[in-house]
Amino acid sequence: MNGAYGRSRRFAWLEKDNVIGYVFLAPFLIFLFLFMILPIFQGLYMSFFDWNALTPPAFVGLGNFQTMFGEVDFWSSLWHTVYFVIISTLPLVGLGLAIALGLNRSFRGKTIARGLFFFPYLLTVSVVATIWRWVLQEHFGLLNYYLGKLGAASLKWLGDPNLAMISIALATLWWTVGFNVVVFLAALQEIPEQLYEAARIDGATPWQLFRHITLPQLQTSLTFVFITQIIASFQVFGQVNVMTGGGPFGSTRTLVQYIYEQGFKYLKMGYASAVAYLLFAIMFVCTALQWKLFSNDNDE
Amino acid sequence: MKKSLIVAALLCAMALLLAPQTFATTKLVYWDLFSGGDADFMTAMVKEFNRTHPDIFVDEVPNKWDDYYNHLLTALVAKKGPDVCIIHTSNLPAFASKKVLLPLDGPIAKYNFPAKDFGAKLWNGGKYQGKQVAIPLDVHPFILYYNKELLARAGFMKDDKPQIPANPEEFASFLKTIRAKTGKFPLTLETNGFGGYRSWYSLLNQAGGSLMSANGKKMTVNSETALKTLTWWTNLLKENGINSMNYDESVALFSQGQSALHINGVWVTGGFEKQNGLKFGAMPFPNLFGSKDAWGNSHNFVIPNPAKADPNRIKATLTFIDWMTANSDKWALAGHIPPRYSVLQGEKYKSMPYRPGYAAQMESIAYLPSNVHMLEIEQFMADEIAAAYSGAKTPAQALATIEQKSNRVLK
Repeated sequence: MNGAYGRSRRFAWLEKDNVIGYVFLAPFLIFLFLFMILPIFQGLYMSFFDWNALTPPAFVGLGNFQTMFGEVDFWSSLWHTVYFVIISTLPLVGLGLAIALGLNRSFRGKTIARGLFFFPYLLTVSVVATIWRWVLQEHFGLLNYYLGKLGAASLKWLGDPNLAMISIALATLWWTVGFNVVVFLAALQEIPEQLYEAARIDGATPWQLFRHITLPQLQTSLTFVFITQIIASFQVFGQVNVMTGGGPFGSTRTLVQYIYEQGFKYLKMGYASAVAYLLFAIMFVCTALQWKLFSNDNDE
Repeated sequence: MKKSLIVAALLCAMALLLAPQTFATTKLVYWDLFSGGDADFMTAMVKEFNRTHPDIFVDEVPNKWDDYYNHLLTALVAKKGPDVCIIHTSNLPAFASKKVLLPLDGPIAKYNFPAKDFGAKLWNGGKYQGKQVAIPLDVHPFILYYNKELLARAGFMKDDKPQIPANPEEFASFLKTIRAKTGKFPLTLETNGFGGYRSWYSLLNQAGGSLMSANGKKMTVNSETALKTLTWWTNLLKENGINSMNYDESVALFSQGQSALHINGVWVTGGFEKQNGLKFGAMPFPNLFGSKDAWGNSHNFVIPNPAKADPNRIKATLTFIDWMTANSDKWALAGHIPPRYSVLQGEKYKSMPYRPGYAAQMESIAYLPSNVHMLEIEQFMADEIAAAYSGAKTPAQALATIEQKSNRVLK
């Protein structure tokens, strides 16, 4: 928009075309406002109150934030979340890219293979988590059964605090890597074949092709996948809730689980909002940092 | 959650359309949290009630257990929701303290509700700060299941009765003998999950220990008794290789005949009796430290939204609760122990398989203390006790942590 737009810019929305535009947008905007924008601000407002949802709220200022920073379980949940982000993001992006590169070649059964990798993504979190909870059982689990056949010792996949989060990351990888594969695959097919041809004529090695053509061409989708992946990993909840319930002894309790317990189980809505806002701030900073990092690359 | 609300709303709407609307009918919307086998028994009972009471129509809205309390809370916030619903004893204080449950002492006296027929412990479990806010439908304590074949092989069955020792030392060597003679797990139970603390909590109560002071102001969990029972129990679990076992697995091992004993709530009875070839029995929790106490919880009927309740509907609700509890032998099919003596002593209940064998446990229920913060403290307990079992913390560290975290919440 610029100054030439007209004298009564303030009332521009009243002009006929605009009104019709807003009428078309209204159903969406109303829902967006009622169920997204408004709750976002209500959540912030709530975080300054001590409120159990059933009796009137009491203003506590920054009290909830103060409590939060003094709470051992908050810090451990934050660490578990960050740990999950660290161990899940790289495999999800890296393996996603690797599978996409493999599937981008032509071979028999390519379509079926693509479908197979995407299939788990269609399942709901409770189905995926329940399947994996049984696969990873110590005494009856499929995984330990086959490990046993290979002569390996049984592991407590979900019962050992050092393994439990890794097991959850494994299940998450199986579940959602297909989505990243699809994004990468679509991007790979967009890369003009001439680029590779020209490079090959110049004698480029496969690694050089990947490093100097494929990767730069994937820049946008890499940014997209990385950012959405990190956001999704920060919000991990369903898999944890069904597979371990936050256990063994709280070693897989993540921030969203902590928020859920504090808010809906112990009716500390204000406190839960405060923690939710902290999570939001962390994710906001992470996303902004990545954005900056990747777009700087672009400018080179 | 949003989805389940919509589904519930649709169900309500459908039920409204289908309900036979005669003029004098009092309609009661009833929410519960039963799923699977339990839900079938519950729905059949409500149907039977509606058939035999033309003047009352109870509209059952079954909810999924895992988001039931969120659902109920949301409804209460909006001052909506059912006329009557189910709440666990452990969840009562959280709701009762916010004054969203109708005190029932008045209506109970007015309509001559048969309070005396109920087990005293269960009836008192329905009180909050001395006021009756709930009426128990059942009690579901921890009990002991035993595999008859494995116990016989180890030499502990006499005249079809299991010989279970009643003190810690003998119990430990009893498990050792079973292990040696059968090569199976002598005992299985959940030890690394949320319910892991329940077996120890039973022992704590047996030994006369307690979780918090009677006035609910301070934790008493970091005691000699607590340390003694927790240390003994942890060592025993470790010795038998069951100190880090999850729920599903403990149940599967017993139903596959891989375990001689199994400690769990009465709710698994129905599943075990469907297991082909499993010859098992069920009895009260073993008395190891001088009393028969065992962890337990109850489903209770409550009347939410006191401001909304009108006398006519309160009367109909009490008729419904009276009938449901008087017919709780039908509910006992799900494994739960009926709350009323008239049912427990009735021929129908006494002739049921397995269930009468553990009914006596209702006299020695160790509920969690009635405290507004109990759910949070329960989580601390669940986390710390499982950490002690697994060896990640010493029993003393675990107890100190429960005490410290809980006292912060209580103050």
